[in-house]
Amino acid sequence: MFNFYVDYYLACFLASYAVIQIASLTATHMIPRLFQGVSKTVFLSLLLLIMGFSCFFLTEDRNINDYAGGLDANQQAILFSFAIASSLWVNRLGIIIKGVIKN
Amino acid sequence: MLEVDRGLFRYINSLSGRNDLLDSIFSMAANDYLIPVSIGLILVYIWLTSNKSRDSKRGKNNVVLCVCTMFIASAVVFICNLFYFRERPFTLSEVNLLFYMPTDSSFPSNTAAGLVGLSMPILFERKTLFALALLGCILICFARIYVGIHYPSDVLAGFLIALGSFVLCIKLVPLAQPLIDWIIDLSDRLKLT
Repeated sequence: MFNFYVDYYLACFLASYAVIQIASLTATHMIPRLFQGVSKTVFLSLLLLIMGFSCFFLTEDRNINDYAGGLDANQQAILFSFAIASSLWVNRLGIIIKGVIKN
Repeated sequence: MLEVDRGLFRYINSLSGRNDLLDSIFSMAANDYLIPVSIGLILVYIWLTSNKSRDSKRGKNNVVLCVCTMFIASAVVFICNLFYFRERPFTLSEVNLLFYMPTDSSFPSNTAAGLVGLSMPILFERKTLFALALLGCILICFARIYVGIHYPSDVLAGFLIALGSFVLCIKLVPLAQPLIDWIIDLSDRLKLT
């Protein structure tokens, strides 16, 4: 779609956002989530997971070596960590914006 | 022993090229991104739901332990590669190659060591998630033999290195506890919980 780095980051971002939503359903402590309904949250999570993985794997051939344009292990770890952190922050931001709109 | 290893490799690799669907599934499973990201997401889930545990920090401790085990396992593989280089199976004989040609040493499998290392400590947290992660590891390891880039012994050595790293990591945890606590506190301050 864009380039390998951005595609990988986006896929991880969407998938981790989905995991945050799923975790918000099962965690005993409060994890902010976008929708209050369980079915809406499950639907959103599944949609994000499918979107994330299919946008990454179905758009281009991803079986390529790191020196031929793929990612090495370090780049993967950094992008994956950054995607998780940003999805957690975006989730919090979304809740704040939702609260402001409601009020 | 080497003959058994090669024979087993030839048998598993000969299964490829017969069925397009199976080839696609195993090429996808052998991919550098699908299963590693999935196991990473399992860790994210454990991290986020860790307050469910009796001890609220236990889950996060285990996630840090997973990452440490993976680092130690990868370091051991790196050191092994400094002293021993084994050619990939596709360079030595006719194989059904369904993957790109990696240039690093075949033995021990870095993927097996890293991913099994990442998955082992999940055993302390949730057995179901551990089973899921281990299934992913077995799938990627089998797939890498199927697509022609690893011998079975490479994968087996990777598993053993991960197990050794896991044991070492458990022994080191009490020493590294202040560092682990600092990482968890930092993540709290950065609102990563």
